[in-house]
Amino acid sequence: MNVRILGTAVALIGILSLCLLAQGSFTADLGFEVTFDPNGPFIADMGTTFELGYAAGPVQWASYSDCRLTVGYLWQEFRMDVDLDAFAVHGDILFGPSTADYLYAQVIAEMTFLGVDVGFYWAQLGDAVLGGPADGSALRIAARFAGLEVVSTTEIGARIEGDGFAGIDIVHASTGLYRHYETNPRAAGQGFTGEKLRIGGFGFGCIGNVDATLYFTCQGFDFLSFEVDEVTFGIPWLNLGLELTYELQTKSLAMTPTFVVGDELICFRPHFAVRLGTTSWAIEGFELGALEVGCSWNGITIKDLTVLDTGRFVITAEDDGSTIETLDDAIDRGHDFYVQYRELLSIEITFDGCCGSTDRILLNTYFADTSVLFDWAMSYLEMRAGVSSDIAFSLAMTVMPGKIDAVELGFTLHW
Amino acid sequence: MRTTTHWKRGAVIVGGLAILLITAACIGFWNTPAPIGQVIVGDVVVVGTQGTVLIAVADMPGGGLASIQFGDADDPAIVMTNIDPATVQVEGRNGFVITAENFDATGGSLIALNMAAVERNEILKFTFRVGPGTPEFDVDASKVTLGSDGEAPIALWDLSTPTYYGR
Repeated sequence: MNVRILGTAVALIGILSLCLLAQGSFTADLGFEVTFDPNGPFIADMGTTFELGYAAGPVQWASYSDCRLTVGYLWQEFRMDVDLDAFAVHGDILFGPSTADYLYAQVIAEMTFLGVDVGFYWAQLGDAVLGGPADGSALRIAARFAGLEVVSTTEIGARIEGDGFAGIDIVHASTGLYRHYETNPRAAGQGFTGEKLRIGGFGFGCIGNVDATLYFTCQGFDFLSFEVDEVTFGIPWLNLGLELTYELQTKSLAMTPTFVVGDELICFRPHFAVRLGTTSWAIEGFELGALEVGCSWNGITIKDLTVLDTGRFVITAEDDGSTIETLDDAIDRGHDFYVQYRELLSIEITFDGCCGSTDRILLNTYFADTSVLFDWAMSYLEMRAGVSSDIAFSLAMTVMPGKIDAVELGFTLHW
Repeated sequence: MRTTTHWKRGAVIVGGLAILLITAACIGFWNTPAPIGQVIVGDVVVVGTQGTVLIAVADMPGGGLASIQFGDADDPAIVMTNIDPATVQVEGRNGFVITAENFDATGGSLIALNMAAVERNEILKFTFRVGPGTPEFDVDASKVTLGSDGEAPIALWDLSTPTYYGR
């Protein structure tokens, strides 16, 4: 059954592509990477990705394939986009070719009518995925009037990404590799499962922008949160953000003032944990949990992140932005993070390279409680250089005290 | 003027629908059974002579998984075949920290804790040297103990070995 679905989808894409060859345009991206592990097997993994796209008028098709040395043909994904200005449709379907399994599909239809944005989301999880079979849909209606934005999301068995929710990852259990999608089907054949109502864009006094979100599930009340983007004090370089959340049995308050100097040249952001009274709303104290200092100038970004409360705050990994998040947030958002490092010093340089390419060098150095000079614990180097606008080479390397942990070489080709 | 009326009518309809759904939810009209927690043991991935196994969890109740114990040194929960126990290295993922571990010829045991809790994600990564023959890494579910964020034992869970899972 699954083989037939996969075969049919491949054949349809092929036939459609051939039929439309004369009038549309093709694009292709080929990526190849090899990972070396000097401490284990010399070649730890090899992977190649191939993306073929076809556009004809408002319709775009794409095929994405991912093969790995360790597990073979890992992902085969097909995508379709139709964009007619006021009406747009996006579809994804994912297969696991090595096991010939249908894994996931989603369709997102969005339209704008009289200034109201209506989005219909549908997704299905195949029975080859733990958590499946599942399917569900959600209806999102957003409208703006009198400076307010009102967003209603009605979940009928599916939850959609945004406003604190993270979508869904389909994870290959043996390798941890995953594909990410917006619509998360919760269980098979469910009716109403949740309602989220967000009212944003209002403010008063020195408070610039307030977002209030109320969320109910089929089990009842889940949370009510108020997020304030900017509390201004008439001081141009100081801005204060607040987030207050009520859950069924807990309440929490997070406070992140931002100090911006010299037209966003230098940004200083302390992360405070607010200790609330257990029986009343009294604030018992503020704890400085982490510090971020950043400076950007002419393509050079220097960043220093310091975690003071290592039980509460963490530094996220490079792929998730190398920023400071609370441990709970990082886990909820599915971000990778380093729990073992307490400081990061990062320098990133981007510049125009050869023949129209943009080149990049990133050096992240992490510190922890080690016996090495300056408590150095790990350095991560990433370089990307293009030899033309269509061909680029990359290098990533992880070095720890006494050893090179991993080296990854790759190239991408676009035509 | 007419557009404003449309807005107001639309806002009233959306607000009314939201209140209706919320009220119905509050009285438990759509209550569905909670899913059972899953401990997911991935297949052994072998490159050369090195093997890797990932363990993840999904749908963990009680605010998420905060502690996991795989037997003890006298009664290990991890059974390994064609794997050199002396070369096993365990790494906690997503905040899990290994507080005790023992791997020998009789099998493997360990305790891992997390200050936060994980509802669905990877929690442990094992790397080891494999011997001749097909390496196998099995977990005896009857010897595994889970603890939730609420410091209560998680009694209702399953051990599974799927190729894919959703998180």
